Amino acid sequence: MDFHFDASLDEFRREVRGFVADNLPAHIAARQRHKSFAPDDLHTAEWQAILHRRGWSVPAWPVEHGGTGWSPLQQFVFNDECAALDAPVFPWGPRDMVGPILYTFGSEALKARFLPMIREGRHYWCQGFSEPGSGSDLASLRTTALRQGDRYIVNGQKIWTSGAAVARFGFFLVKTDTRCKPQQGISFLIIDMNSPGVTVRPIPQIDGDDHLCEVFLDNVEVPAEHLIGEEGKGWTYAKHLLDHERTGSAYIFWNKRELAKAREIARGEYRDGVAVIDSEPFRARLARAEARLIALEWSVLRILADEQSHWHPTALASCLKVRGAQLQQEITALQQEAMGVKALRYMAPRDLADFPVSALWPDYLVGKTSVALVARAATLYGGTLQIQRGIIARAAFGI
Amino acid sequence: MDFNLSPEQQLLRDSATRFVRERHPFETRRAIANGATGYSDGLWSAMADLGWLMLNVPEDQGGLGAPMADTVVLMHTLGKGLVAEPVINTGVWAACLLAGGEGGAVRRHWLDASASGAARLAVAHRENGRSWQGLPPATRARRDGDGYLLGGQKIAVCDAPVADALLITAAEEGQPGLAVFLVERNTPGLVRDDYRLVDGSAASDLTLLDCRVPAANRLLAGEEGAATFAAASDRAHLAVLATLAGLMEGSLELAADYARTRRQFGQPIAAFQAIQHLLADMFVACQESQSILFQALAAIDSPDAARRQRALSAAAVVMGEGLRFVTEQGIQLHGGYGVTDEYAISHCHRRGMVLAQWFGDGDEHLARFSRLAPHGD
Repeated sequence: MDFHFDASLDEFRREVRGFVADNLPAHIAARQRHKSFAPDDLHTAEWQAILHRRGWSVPAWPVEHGGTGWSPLQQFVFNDECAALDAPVFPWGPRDMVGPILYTFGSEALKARFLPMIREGRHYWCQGFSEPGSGSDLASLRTTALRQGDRYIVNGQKIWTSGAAVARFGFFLVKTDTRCKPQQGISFLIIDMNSPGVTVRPIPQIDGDDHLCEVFLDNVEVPAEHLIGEEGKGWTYAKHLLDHERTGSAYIFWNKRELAKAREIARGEYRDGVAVIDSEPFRARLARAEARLIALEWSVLRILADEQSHWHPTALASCLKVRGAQLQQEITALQQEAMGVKALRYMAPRDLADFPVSALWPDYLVGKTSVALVARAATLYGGTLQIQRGIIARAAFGI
Repeated sequence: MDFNLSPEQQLLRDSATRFVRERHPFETRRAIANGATGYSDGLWSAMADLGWLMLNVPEDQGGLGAPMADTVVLMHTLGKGLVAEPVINTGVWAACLLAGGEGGAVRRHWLDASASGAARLAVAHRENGRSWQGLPPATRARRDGDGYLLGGQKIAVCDAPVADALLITAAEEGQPGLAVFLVERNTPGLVRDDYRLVDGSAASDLTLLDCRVPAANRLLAGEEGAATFAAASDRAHLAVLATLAGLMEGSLELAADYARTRRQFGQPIAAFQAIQHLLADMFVACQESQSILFQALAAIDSPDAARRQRALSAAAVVMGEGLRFVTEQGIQLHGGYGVTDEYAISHCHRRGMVLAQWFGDGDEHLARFSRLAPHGD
């Protein structure tokens, strides 16, 4: 056992911190602070282009595809520093899902066409997994893609498709074989969202935003070469991906940054002349959340440092998902509590960048309620809390 | 960064696991806990023979000078095995106090005796109505000729009934900081009120009535004494937390095994989702506790007491909550059997109750963690 970050990692941290501090434009950091990023925000792309010029836009990818060759701990440090300095968080889909599946399983033609645009952050991508009848039970999905000559004809309906209204491309889980067992006939397909037959309906959300969408696919023609890898392997690919990326669901960088924001709010807001941060009950709750956050961070480090465990890796990964999601809710609740009655003001997500900041309404309040409301979904997406518990019971205890 | 056991640590864990399996199966544990003293001379000398009491004695003082990680590995396994011998009191807490203390022959004698298992030692710090961190103690020490007179009272001193000598904290008259005195078991003026604790181990209330000890028995004094006491206590606290992590893992395995075997409504109760989800939450709590234990271990050698104690308090907060959850729900999963003495889960719960109090309860550590925050609040 040895828990020292080696000295080269400290050096690396300084290098990253210096680069981000020098190159992250102030207006982009401000938008991140205000949570005023739409998924298709040009500023996100602007930051990704800056990182791309430095060679850091897709750190986890293999070097031959534009990755950095960094160790898992270096990647951890990079993400940690970026989040701490309010760099925008990139959409998870293209960089962390489509990219890896493409370079692992995709054809040369698909890789040549799509990897560069993902690396450079040129287009927004949406992800079509869930369906109205297939939420937690994803294997029951019913959207079909039937081969006709050199194309697939896609029919069905997707839901919770984040950013579908503005996405240029989508990667969809579809049934290419409707006769076999549910999990076997599933494939990954890239769909051009401008194709005829694709209809998108934004869903008004709990915070007034509407980036989650329903996508209707009505006889959409998709070139057959847009199939990633082989037919019927979608489930295997998704599992492969999860086996290789087990710590993202902890939202560790997000949680650390938002806990710091909770502290900032509590320092700035007063009740009866006493700063919220000095109220004993609040301090206790904040401290409890912080202790749990430290535990979560060390859980992430254990996986990144490849601790040998007699427990099944899937069970350990789900632990991160469970605690990471619970902490998102706990921390945003602390922010809300510190804001008190000010948390009630409705701030339209689309207008946050223009919110009239004042002494009464400091910028640390902007957008926080929206985030807290959306954080209710943290225990829903990517497998609900209840699904995670089932996964743990099965993986850890064989039941 | 490496979370894996070294080959030596692997051997240590294997030997501790074997020890528990062969020498301390649950029925033995139960017999000892319900026996006359709550302790076993045979087990104690066997553990001494394995060198476990020398881990925290420096090499230049005849010990192994092992890294703290070794103690964590050992206590995790002994915790899981519900071993209640005074390994932490003697082999960690007293050993660190003696090793870091002043005084020649007395210190030397008792360090050797504790490392070889010839003596059991217990540290007495807790006082009635005071929190763990409530320094300085109300117990007083006054210089008197070639010795000291001790006066005061200590409460719930774990393992004291079987200790050959006690290491007692006191405020020394006219001195800052903290003093620690070694007081032998039968010293006149030391009155022990012995009783058993809920887990079968034993404790004493100590009353010191002008208890006279030789000057050479003052092991620590002044600000330096306070710092040494804090560092030794931090190591013992970490050993307690490692024990708790093992206890939690043991409780989880007991609960899972029981759920797989116990049948109701024609099937194992593990088939019910309500049971599965409970086990899953217990698993999450165990993993979280193990993670934050590593975090405390990573800080334990820091010369900065605030950094060490912040890390320990963070661990105590998370693990205290996790321990209660895992052992209480472990009982719940056992149904009526969970509240019997015949099932190990009730021993886990009671042992956990005792250990979780040793270095202060959850609220105390939540407050200390918050106070030591490096954020300038």
